[in-house]
This record gives sequence, C-alpha cells and structure tokens, in this order.
Amino acid sequence: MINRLVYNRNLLINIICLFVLSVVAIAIQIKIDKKFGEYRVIENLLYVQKPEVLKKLIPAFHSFIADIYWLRSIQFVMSNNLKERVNDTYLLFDIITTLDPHFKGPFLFGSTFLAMSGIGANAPEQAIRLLNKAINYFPNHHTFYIYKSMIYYTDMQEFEKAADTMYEASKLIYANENLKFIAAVMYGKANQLAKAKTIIHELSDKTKDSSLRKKSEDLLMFIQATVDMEKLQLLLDIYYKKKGKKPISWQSLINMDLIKETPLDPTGIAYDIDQTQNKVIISQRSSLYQFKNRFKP
Amino acid sequence: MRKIYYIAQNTFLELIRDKVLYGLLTFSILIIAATYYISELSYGYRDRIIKDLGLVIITLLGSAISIFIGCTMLGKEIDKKTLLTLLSKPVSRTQIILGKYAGLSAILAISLLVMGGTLCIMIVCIGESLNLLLLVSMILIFVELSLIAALAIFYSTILSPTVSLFVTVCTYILGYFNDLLKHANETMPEGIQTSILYGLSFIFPNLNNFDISMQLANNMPIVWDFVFHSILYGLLYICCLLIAATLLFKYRSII
Repeated sequence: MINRLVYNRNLLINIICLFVLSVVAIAIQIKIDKKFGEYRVIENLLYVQKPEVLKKLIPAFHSFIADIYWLRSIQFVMSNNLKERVNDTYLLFDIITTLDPHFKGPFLFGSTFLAMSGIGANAPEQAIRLLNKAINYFPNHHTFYIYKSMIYYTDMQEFEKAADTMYEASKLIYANENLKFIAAVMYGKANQLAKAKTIIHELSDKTKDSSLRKKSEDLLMFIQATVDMEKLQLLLDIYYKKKGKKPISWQSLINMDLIKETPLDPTGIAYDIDQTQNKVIISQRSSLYQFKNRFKP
Repeated sequence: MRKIYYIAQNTFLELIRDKVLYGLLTFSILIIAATYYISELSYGYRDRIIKDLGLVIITLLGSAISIFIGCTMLGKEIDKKTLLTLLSKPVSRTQIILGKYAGLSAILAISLLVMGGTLCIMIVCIGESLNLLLLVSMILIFVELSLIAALAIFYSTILSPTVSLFVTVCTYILGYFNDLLKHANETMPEGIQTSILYGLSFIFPNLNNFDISMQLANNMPIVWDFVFHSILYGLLYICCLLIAATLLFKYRSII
C-alpha cells in the first residue's frame, strides 16, 4: 500500500514537473519570438548570397530544399515590407529557382510580387530579371513571356517592349492566336501603327477563328481610323489657329476649304468632334467605338 | 539456395521484432501524415510539397534503417556468439552473408511499402492521382536502400559495429557528394588531387542516380533510359559489395 502511494506520488511529481517545464519552455519561446522576431529564421535562409554556391553545398534533395525556401518565401512576402527588402526578395526566389529550375510557381509568384506596387516590392526590373531567367530555362513556355509583357505594359509603361515580348510569345508553338491580337493592340499603344498593321494582316490571313478574324478586321480599321484622326486633328488645329475658335461641326472646315466633305471612318460612320477639347473622336454609333481607349496613353 | 532462404527468413523474423524498426516507421508515418497540413502553406503546390517531403523522409529514414540494422546485424551475432552455432551447421559463410542480406532487403521492402503507402494515401487525400513516376521513384529508392544495406554489411564484415556505422554514414554522405568529387577540377586547380577525387567518385556509390524527386515534383516525363541504367548500376554495385563482403567474411576470425 505504502509502496503504491510512493509510486503514485512519484508519478504525480513527474507529471507536474513535465507540465511546468513544458509551460516554461513555451513561455521562453514566446519571449524569444517577441524579442528577436517571429520570422528571424527566414533571415537565416538568406545567409548564402549566391544560389549557385548553395546548390553545390547541398548535395541532394534540391527539390525538397527548394520547397522549404518556397514555404519560407511565402511567409517572407506576407510578413515584410517588400519595398525595403527588394534584393532579399529577389534573392529568395533566385535561390528557389536555382535549386529547382523546373519549379515554375516561384518564377510567376516572385515576379508578380517583385513588380507589384501596392503590397509588392515595386521593382519591375527585378521581376523582369527573374522572368528572363525563367525564359532562359523554358524558352517555349509562353506564360513567362505574357507575364513579362504585362509587367512592361502595366508596371513600367514600356509599351513597345511589352508588344515585342507579347509578339514573341505569340510566335511560340501552341501559343494562343489571341496573343497576336494583344501584341497588335500593344504596338498601337506604343504608336507603332505599321507594326500593329503587319501583325493584324498576318493574323487575319492565317486564323480560322471567325470571331477573331472579325475582331482583327475591326482593329485594322481602327488603326486606319487612328491615322485618319491624326490628320484630321491637324486640320482642327489649323482651323483653331486661323479662326481663334473651335469648329462647331465638320461643315465649318468644309466652308474653309480644309476638307471637301464630312470625313467618315472605315466603317462609313462620320467622325465626331469633341467640342470641349477640340479633338477628333470615333462616333459612338461606329463599331470601332469599342477600341476608343486602346491606343491612348 | 534453400539454406539462404532459411537464413533470410530467420533474419526477417528476428528483425521484424526489433523495436527500433517500429520506432523509425512510426516516426516516418507521423511525419508523412503531417505533410498533409504542412502542404497547406504552399500556396497551390500541395502535391509537390507532399511528394518531395514524403520522398525525402522515406529516403532518409529508409537509409537510417539500412545503415543501423545492416551495421549491427552481424556484429550482434558475433558478440552473442550465436554465429558460431550457425557456423557449426553445414552452412557456408557466403550463405550467411547472402541470407542476412536477403532478410534485410525484405525488411526494407516492407518498410518502403508502409512509408510509400502512407505517402500515397496523403496524395489521394488532397485529391491528386497517383502516377507511374511515383512507383518508379519508389523502385529507385528501394535499389538505393538495398545498396546502402549491402554497403553496411560489407563494412560490418571487417569492422566493429560502431566503426562500420561511422564509415557507412561517411560513405553515404560521400555518395551524395559524388558529383562534386567528379567535377572537382571545376573548383580547384587540376592536378594529382583532382585525379584522385575523380577516381574516388567511381569507387564510392553515386546515390544521386536514384534521386528523381525533381522529376516527380514537377510532373516531368520519365527518362526510362536513366531509370534503367540507374537500376542496373545499383544492382551491379550491390553484387560487387556482396562478393567483396563474402570474400572478407571468409577470412575473418570470429572467435
């Protein structure tokens, strides 16, 4: 009986000790996290600044190590002000993609967060660098070209580069035909109307998709309309200089012998004049109206 | 052949009762099962994380089982003098080595089945389908583990269990650094030392041959030529190690 009591008492003491020590250990861990930062371990991952060296130091399981870096990079992206950590953000994704170049997610995720201005690093050049690395590994994977093009277009406002990249993507095997259409629109935005025209001609000649052909033909007409509108705009400016007032309608220009008749867009609908800004615009009745803001900066 | 079978059966039954084996297997199952939750942090790459983590655990814990059991198996028998009883029977030393190796291989196969099965369940649990590449990677891991077991038995025929454990672990690590040895001339001036390292890279097993986790993680197509050559390399290496082990064991004094 006494033995049993002693045994039970010892057991109870052991359990209490175990519980107290566990609680103390957890409390210490919480204190460490508060004092030194919950995400300090991620910083340790960045000790090796050269991904190639890291790859050589780790003899095997590269894909697994890349996964660990991937999980950590998600935490890093979510927990840091990336604008202050641009180089580290790039380095993390560079390490992952060096360890496992076939892992496509980090290329896309990394470039998106590097380029984004809000919660991202607002470093589109670094995003382009990462995507160039991806394209180097996957020269036939059009997704990377599309991402690169969109970064040029939206984040860097470099429309010609965006168009060049999109056109490159459209030439890849299995690429969607719509990419050519997008490239043409981008060239339009970059004011490279001749290039846009060539691509649209190429597209409408080759495509078997009737709706895409129709869209291409409309865009082609819009390109023509853009060229016409530029010329008409010059005439509106001449009128304004000579008369010192804005024309009410095309009739005012006809009366001054600047034009012979009311100018029509390629669909046969007359252009409108925005009297407040003295600008030539596409009529709302025209089917080309859908493109009205496409080429505007 | 029958004698080898009986020794293998006996070894298998003896090892299957080993608590260390159950401990390692339970641990591996728990970690593989935990990948289900860990993978939720992966932002859309759950299957990749589960496969990668699962394969690494299977490889590392499988290797631990191979090394630990392979190195201590013969030593225990010698220390307890039970090997003498066996040798008093009409059984050759070659048969003992081959039987022990076959028994250990069977244990490895069972362990791999248990761990691989858990991994498959986790993959199915997240709604992914199982593919041939997973089976191929399991086969390659089995060849790798068998090779490590042969290596452990080879060292344990000439060294004490503790020393053979240390040497096997070193060889295991070198096996993964094999490519680094082979391409030493890229990082150091070419000379006699690089030639020695180059030669050593052929003596130590190249364990990178059995790692296709990158292909599995990225759902890449199977390069059958590579798989075939890796399996052939593994089998030939195992044969060489077992022949060397039997030769050395023949001349080892047991008393």
